[in-house]
Amino acid sequence: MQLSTTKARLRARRRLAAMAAAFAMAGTAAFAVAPATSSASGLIKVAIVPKLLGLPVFEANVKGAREVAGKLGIALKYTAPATASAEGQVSIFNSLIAQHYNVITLSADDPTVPAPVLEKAMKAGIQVVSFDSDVLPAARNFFVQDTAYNTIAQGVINATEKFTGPKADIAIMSSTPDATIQLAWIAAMKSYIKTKFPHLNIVTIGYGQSNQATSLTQAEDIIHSYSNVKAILPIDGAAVVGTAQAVAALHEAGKIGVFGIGDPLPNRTYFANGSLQALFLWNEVNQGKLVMLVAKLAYEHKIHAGSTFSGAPVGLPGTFSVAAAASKITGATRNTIIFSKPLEFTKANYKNFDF
Amino acid sequence: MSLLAGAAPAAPPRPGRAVRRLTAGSQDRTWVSALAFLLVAEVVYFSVTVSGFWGGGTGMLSLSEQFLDIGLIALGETLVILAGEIDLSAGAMSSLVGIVMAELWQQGLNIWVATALALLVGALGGALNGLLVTRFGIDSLLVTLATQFILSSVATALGGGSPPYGFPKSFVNLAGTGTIGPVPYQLIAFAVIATVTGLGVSRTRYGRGLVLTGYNRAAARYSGTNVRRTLLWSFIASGFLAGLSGVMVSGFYNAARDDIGDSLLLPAITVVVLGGVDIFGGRGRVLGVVVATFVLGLLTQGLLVAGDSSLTATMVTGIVLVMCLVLKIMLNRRSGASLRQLLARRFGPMTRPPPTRLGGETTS
Amino acid sequence: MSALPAPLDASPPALVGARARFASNALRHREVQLLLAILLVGGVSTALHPNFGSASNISFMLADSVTTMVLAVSQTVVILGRGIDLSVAPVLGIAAIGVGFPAQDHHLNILLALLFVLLIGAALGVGNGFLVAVVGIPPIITTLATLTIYGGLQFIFTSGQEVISIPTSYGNLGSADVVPGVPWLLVIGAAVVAGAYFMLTRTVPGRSIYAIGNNSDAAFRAGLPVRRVIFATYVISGTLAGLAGLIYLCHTGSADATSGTDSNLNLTSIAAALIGGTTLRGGRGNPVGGALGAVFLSVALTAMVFARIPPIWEPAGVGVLILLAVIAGGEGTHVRKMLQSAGGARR
Repeated sequence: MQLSTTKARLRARRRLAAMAAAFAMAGTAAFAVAPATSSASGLIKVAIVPKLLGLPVFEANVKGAREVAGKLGIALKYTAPATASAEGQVSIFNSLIAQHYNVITLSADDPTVPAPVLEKAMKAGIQVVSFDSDVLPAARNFFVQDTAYNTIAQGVINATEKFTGPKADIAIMSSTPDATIQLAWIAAMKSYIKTKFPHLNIVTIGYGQSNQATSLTQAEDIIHSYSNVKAILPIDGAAVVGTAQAVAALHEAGKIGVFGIGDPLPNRTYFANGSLQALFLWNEVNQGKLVMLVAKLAYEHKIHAGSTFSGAPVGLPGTFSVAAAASKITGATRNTIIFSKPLEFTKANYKNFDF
Repeated sequence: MSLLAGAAPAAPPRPGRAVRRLTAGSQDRTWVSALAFLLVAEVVYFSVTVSGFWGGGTGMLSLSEQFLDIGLIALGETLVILAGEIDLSAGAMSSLVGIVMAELWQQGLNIWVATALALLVGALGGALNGLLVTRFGIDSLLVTLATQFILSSVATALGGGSPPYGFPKSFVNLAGTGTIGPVPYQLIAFAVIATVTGLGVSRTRYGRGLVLTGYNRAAARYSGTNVRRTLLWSFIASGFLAGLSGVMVSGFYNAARDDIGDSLLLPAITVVVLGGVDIFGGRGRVLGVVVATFVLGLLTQGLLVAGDSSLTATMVTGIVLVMCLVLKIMLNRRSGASLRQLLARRFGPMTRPPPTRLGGETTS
Repeated sequence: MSALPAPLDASPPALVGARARFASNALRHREVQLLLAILLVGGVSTALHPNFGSASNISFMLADSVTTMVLAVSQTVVILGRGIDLSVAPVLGIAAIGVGFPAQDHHLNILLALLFVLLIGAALGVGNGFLVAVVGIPPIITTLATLTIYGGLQFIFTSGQEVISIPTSYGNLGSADVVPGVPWLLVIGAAVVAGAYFMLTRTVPGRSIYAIGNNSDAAFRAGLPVRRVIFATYVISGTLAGLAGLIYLCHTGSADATSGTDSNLNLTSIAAALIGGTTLRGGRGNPVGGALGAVFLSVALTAMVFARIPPIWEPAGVGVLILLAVIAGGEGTHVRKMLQSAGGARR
C-alpha cells in the first residue's frame, strides 16, 4: 500500500513537472516519454473502477484483484473518482476507451448515467464487467453480484427478529435515496417481512449520504424521535459505523439492536463494546479475485449466459454459473454471476477477518 | 459578493481608475492571447505524448463533450459575475432542470415540450434569484447559497428512488451524443451560444450596461442603465444556461440524476476566473471564458487519458488556477519586482502612512 | 502597538459614531433573536414530542453542533475582514486523519493531538493567507483552489485507509456529558467562542479586523497593518478548522479521505455564520452569533426529523433558514441603501 502510494505520488509529480515544462517551453520542449499504458507483453489490460477512491470495501476488492492479476496474465489498473460521482466515472471510462483497455470492471455509482459510455466501450470491443453495483444490463457483458439479495435480506431480518421478537418497531439506515443496491436490499427485506414477520414495522428509513458524520446525526435523530425503535438496520458501510457510534454514545448498547450489512474490520470497536450485534457481508477480497477471473474469461470469450466455470484458477472453491435468465428471487439478471452466500459476523468471530 | 475583496482596496500604488479602465482592454486581450497560447501548447503536448488523445482530431473533439456542460454554466456565470454578483445555485439548477425535463417526459409529455418547460423552470429559478437580489437587496452570494440548498432538495424529491432514463433517440442524439461528421452537436450548440453571449456583452447596449453595472453601479445608473433590470436578466440568463447544461448532460448520459450538475459549479467558476473575468465584476471577455473552458477541459481530459487519476486531474486544476492568477497579477503589475521585494512591499512596516500613490518604490 | 490611532480605542466593533451604535445594537438583537428562535423551536417540538426535551437529545444536538460552531467562528473571523474560507472542510479532514492514524495505531496522547491539529491547521491557513494577503488573489478564488488542493492532499495522506477506532480518551471527550444535557464538546466550543470574542473585541489586532473589514482603505491610511491582519485571519481560520478536525474525530469516532468535504461543512459553516448575523460586507458580526447559528441549525434540523419531515428536505431547510435570517436581520434594506447611495462604487 505504502509503496504504491509513493509510486503514485512520484508519478503525479513527474506529470506535474512535465506539465510545467510544457507551459514554460510553449510546446516546443523535448516531450517526456509517454506513460507506459501500452501492453507490449501480451498482458490483458484490465481496469478496475469502483464507486470512489479510498473506501475500505473497495480497497479490499482491489487487494484481492491485485493478488491474482499476475497469475492470470492481467495488467491491472486501479482508478476511480475521488467522490462517488457517476459523471466522474464516465470521464474515467471515456479515458479508458481512449487508452484501448481490454476489459473494464466497475462498481457503478449510478445504473443509468454510465450506460451510454459503457455501450460505446462494448462497441469498441471492450468487455465490460460490473460488480457490486450493476449498470443497466444492456451496458455490460457480465455482472458479478455480491450475493443473492433474498439471502442477505433474510439473514439480516432473521437475526433482527431473534433480538426484537416478532412484534417490534425497526428502522433502516441507508446511504442515499437512489442507491441501487440498497434499494434492492430494502425491497427484499420488505417482501420477506411481509411474508414471514408481518408485525415487524419499519418506521423510517434514514439516509446517511455514505458519510459517517451524517449517518451519526441521522441515527441519533431516529433513536430520539422514534422512542419505540428496538433495532436499527444500517445497510451501508458508513451507516454501520454511524449507527453503532450513535447507539454507543447514547448508552443504548444492547437495548437497541444493530444488524447491518458491512465489513467487520472498521467496526471492531463496536462489536467489542456491544453496540453492534451482527453484520452480513461476503468476502470482499475473494470477490475481487472472482472479478479478475471473470474479466479474463470474458476477454477470452470463454463464458456466456448459462455456462459454468471453476473458481480454481484464483483459488476459490466450487463452480460459478452465469445466469441465463432474470430471477425475481435472487435479484439476478441475465449474465449475472452470483459470488457467494453472505457471511455472518458477530462478536464471536469478527476478529478472524481482516477486511 | 463584490465586497469580498479582502485586502484589495489597499493594493500597492496603482494608477487611477480611469487610466486603468483605458488600459484594461489591452490587458484583457493579452490575457486571452496567453490562454490561447497555453491551449495550443497543451494540445500539442498531449497529442505527442498521449496516444488516444488526438485521435486524428476526432478523438479530441469527442473529448469536448465531457466538459462543454461546464462551459455552458460558465457562460451564464460570466454574465452574473461581470455584473458584480455571483450565482452559486447554477449547479443545483442544472440538476433540477434535468430532473424536471425527465419527469415531465415520463408523465407522457413530448420530450421537446418537456425540455422547453424545464428550461422555463431554469429561467424562472434564475428570475427568483434575481428578484431576491434586486428587490430585497440581499447579497447574491447569500441568496444563491440558500437557493442552492433548496433547489437540490427539490431535485432529490422529484427524482425519487430511480430518476427516469432511456430518452427518445432523437433527443439523445441532438442534446447529447450526436455528431455532424466528427463535430458533436454539443460543440456546435456551445459555439453558437458562446458567440451570442460574446456579441451580446461586447456589442449591445445591454452588454455595455451589464459590464458598467459590475464596474460601478452609480456610474451605470447615471449613464441611463436600469441596474435592477440588468441584474435580473443576468440571473435569468444564468438560470437558463445552467438549465440548458442540465438538459445536455441528461441527453449525453441518457439519464437524469438529482445531483448531476452539483459537481459542475466549482469548475465553472474556475473557468470564469481563469478566463480573465474579474471576480468583482466590471471586467472580462467572454472569449477568454470560452478559451479557458477548453484549456481546463482538455487539461483534465488529457491527464485522464494519459492514465492519471481524476484526483490528480482535480488537484492540477487547482494548481493551474493559482499559477495563472499569480502570473496575471504579476503581468498586471508590470514591474519586475522579485518575490522578495513583493514580500517586503506587502509586509513592510505599515504603521506609518503609505507612500504616495505614484511610483513603484517599496516601503521596506 | 500604542502607536495605533485613536478611533480603535472606542467600544468593541470599533466603528465610528452613530452607525457603530446602531450596528452593535443590531448585533445584540440578532443573538437575542436566535436564542428566542432556538427556545421556540425547542419548546414547540418538546410539546409535541416530549423526548425532544430529554437531556440525552439536548446533549446530542449541542454536541452535534460543535464542529459547525468552531468552523462558524473560523468563517466569522475571515468574513469580518471581508474574506471567505472555502477550504475549512479539507483542513478539518487533514487534521482529523493527521492525528487520527497516530491515535489509532500508537495511542497518541490527546494533548499532543491537540497541539498537532492546531499546527496542521495553522500551516494550511498560512497557505491561504499567503495567497490572499501577499500575492493578492481574491479570497473566494484562493480558497476555491486550495479546496481542491487540500482535498487532494487529504486523499493522498489517507492512501485508502480510514481511521476506525480511537482511544477511549478521545471517545469520552466526543460523547461524554459534564452534567446531563451538557456535553464536554460544548465546553470546548464555548471556550473557542469566548476566546474569539475576547480576541476580536478586547485586543488591538482583533479590533483592527473590524476596522479593516469595515473600510480597509481607511484602515490602511490610518496606518493599520492591513495585510498582516488579513493574513492572520486566515491563519486563525485554519487553526480553528484544525481544532474542528479533532472535535470531528472524537465525536464521530472515525475519519477518512472525505471527512469534512462530504458533509458540506464549508457551506454549513458559512450558513451558520451568516445566520448568526455576520455580514459578507465585513466589519459586522461576532462569533457568539455564529455559534448560536450553529446551535440553531442543529436544533432546527433535529426538529424536522421529529416532525417527520423526510430527510431529503434538510438542505431546503438550511436554505430557507438562511433566507429568513437574512431578511429578519434587515440586511436587505441595508444593502439596498448602499446600492442607491450615489457613492456606491462597487469596490
